[in-house]
Amino acid sequence: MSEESVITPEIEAMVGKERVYPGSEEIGWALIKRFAIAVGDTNPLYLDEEYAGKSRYRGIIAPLTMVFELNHNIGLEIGEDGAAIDAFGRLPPPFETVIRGGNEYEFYQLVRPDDIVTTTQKIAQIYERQGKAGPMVFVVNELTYRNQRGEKLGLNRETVIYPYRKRDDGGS
Amino acid sequence: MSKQSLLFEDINVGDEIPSLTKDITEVGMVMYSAATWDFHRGHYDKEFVQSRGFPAPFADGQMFGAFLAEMIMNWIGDSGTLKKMDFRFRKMVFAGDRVICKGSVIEKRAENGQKLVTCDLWVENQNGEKILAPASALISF
Repeated sequence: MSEESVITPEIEAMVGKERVYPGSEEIGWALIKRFAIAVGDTNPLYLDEEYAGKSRYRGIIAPLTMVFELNHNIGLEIGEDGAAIDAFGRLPPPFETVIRGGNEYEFYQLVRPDDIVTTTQKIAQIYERQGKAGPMVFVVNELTYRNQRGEKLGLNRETVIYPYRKRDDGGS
Repeated sequence: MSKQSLLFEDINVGDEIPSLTKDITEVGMVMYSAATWDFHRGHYDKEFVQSRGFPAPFADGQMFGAFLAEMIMNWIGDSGTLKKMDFRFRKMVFAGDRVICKGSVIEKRAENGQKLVTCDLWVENQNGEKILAPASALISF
């Protein structure tokens, strides 16, 4: 029943760290279509060039939250659970399970097929709370997305929660 | 296919946003995994999720961001711009669940030449339990 924090100096040192993932190619209409169809959003602004062209947007736009799912971990090695192993901001063992807390989105500009998107991920905050089943560590990541002209497209402030488990719990 | 435009003048505090219903299916989750390059087994691998104590594959959280944005875009049509949206998760959503996105207008104001509307949003499952709340959206006109 120790009062010691489960946030080690190693974890504490992660706060404020930032990583930039430069964009290398246009996101393309194909991805926009696939994302829209995957979520069942048939708005013609994403799928119909003629309709979108005549709209106030004057062309195809991406579904609004798609920019927040442009995965910058695309090249990383994938672990047994299917997740990227060395994702920046992921807490070291014994932390393993990740629960989503919530998201805050800010939309600055619509995303278009010819945008080349650069992502900056900042580990903004790490704090601990006592949960029913033990301590939990909250990590707040701030992801800023910019286009090829350096203009901000959006901001995603994402909170993820790591329940603390001792290493010797015999889990799978 | 033409979408109706919603006017700031026609919006009142207390107005309900037309709800949006989505069935969460394994196929839909695999499509979302592919479109977002997120291959966590939790979203499609039955054996994996059962070994971790879950009844079925579970939905990616940001999928609900997409659903809420779709609901807002369907509502505002060709006018209005979604500026901000935030949400917190309460319960997991599994393959086989049906979710209903809902919302209502809680504030309307004009400031600095901008006409702004704030909405309260939430998502329920087929049992009427809130799986996502609180949530909000800020729309400018």
